[in-house]
Amino acid sequence: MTGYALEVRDLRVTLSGKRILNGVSFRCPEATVTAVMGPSGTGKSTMLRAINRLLDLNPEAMVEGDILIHGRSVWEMEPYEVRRRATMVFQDPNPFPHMSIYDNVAVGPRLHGLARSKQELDEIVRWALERAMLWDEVKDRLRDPPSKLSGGQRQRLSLARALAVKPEILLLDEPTANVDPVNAVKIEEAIRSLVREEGITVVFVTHMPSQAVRVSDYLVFLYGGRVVEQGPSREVALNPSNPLTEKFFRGEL
Amino acid sequence: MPRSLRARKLENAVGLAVIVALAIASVLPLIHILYMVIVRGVEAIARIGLYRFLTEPPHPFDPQNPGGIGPALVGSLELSGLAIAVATLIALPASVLIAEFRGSRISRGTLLLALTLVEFPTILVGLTVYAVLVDHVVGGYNMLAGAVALTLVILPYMAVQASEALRGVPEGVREAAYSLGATRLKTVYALIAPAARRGILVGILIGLARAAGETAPLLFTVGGAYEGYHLCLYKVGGAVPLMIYQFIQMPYKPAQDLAWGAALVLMTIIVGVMLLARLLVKEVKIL
Repeated sequence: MTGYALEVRDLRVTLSGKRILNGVSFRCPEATVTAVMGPSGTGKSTMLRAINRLLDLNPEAMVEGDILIHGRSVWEMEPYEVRRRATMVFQDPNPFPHMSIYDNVAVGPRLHGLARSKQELDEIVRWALERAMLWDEVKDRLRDPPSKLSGGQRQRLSLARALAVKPEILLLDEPTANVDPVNAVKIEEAIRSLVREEGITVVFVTHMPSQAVRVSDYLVFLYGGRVVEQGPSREVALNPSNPLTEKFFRGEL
Repeated sequence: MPRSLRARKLENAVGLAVIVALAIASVLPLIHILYMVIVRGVEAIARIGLYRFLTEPPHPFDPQNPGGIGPALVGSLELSGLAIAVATLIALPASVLIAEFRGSRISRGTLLLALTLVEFPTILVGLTVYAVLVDHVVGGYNMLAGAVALTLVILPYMAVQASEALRGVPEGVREAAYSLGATRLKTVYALIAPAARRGILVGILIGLARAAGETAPLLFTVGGAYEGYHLCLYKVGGAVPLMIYQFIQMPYKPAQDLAWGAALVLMTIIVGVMLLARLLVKEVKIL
């Protein structure tokens, strides 16, 4: 054991012949939040998809380097095992439109056989919805389709769905980018409490410096497919050593 | 210099009139077909009554009692039922191969093959099945050959349609499904295919309508026997479109009337299935 929930070593990704990531390395200690920042098009989302091997599905993608989850290389695991241990929440809320709110959350545990009885499944669904700060708003209408929820609620439903498979790592791709401020605050609170109380490790892509400082313990700053700066969030934010980071925090990049 | 408002309004009116006239001209033949089939079909069916027309065997030479299309209707149900069942069983896995494993060579090959076969002349399918099943294996016209020919005609269409439905599942939903960490096949069957189920169902319905209406694949496979109910797969049988083709060429009034009545029944079935498909398409909702 390395003591790190996630280690990314010299990650290089090519998409359709274009180099997106060029040797990215960082480590996430267990039960911490790492914010990944950087201007648009730096490969932040691509990096998350490389970590949980979603890029395997893209025939145009080529991934090199190593990624370790609790000390074990993802290349030694089956892709679906990697995706289950490191689930992902995306920028746009994407609940399954043909399933009820309940089924959206229950489908993961069902696929993995996590519950032995209806009661156990109910408990997992409730736990996940509570953890996503959505339970109080939907507990009386679990059979409704997700189309009846607001955008922010749908995003929290997506979060609950990802949590219900009991991941060790949660990969969040700008989860609050398309969500109103009230919902954004709820999602941030949910992330903090997940880390504190459930010991989940979070990697969190954001382009809002204030949010990164509020939510994260560590900060990784990507630029042009490379890590230009990393360290404890406050340190990096208050005292950036790289001029690019400083420019970004001033909103000039 | 800008032209006067009046000139532009006039131009607009003329343009609009031309478009409306062309639209009417293009719909006229369709209206004429509907009109002819309904008038002559109703006339033929009314002579004997709807129930008897749908259940009795035909008497193409008997002006007093022309009979109905019962055996042909049952034959059509048997043929299209078999074709749609077998085609669905093959088309669904094929569509998954086409849509969800796009990187692989076998996936691209399947798509290319399906796209080619969609446009394939159906008479050639019938001819091939004739050479194998009628001429070689069974040694005579038989219903099985007809069902196989119909299956081959609708199969590529349904595979392409179902793969389009799968491709229509939004990328976000697809990524979310995969990131729940189930195996690839489980993800497709439990999450992605259900999200596309309406589109897939529409494909099956349109396949059914085609199977019910196709004539060329049946011409030299099922033969055409209408005097009694022939359900045996290894023997000669009949189908509604084939009956229309054969009876309309007979120089007897009762036979031709039977053909028109059968045409109305066929048209009603196909329009009904198509309307159902339209209804399903309308209800497809993407968040």
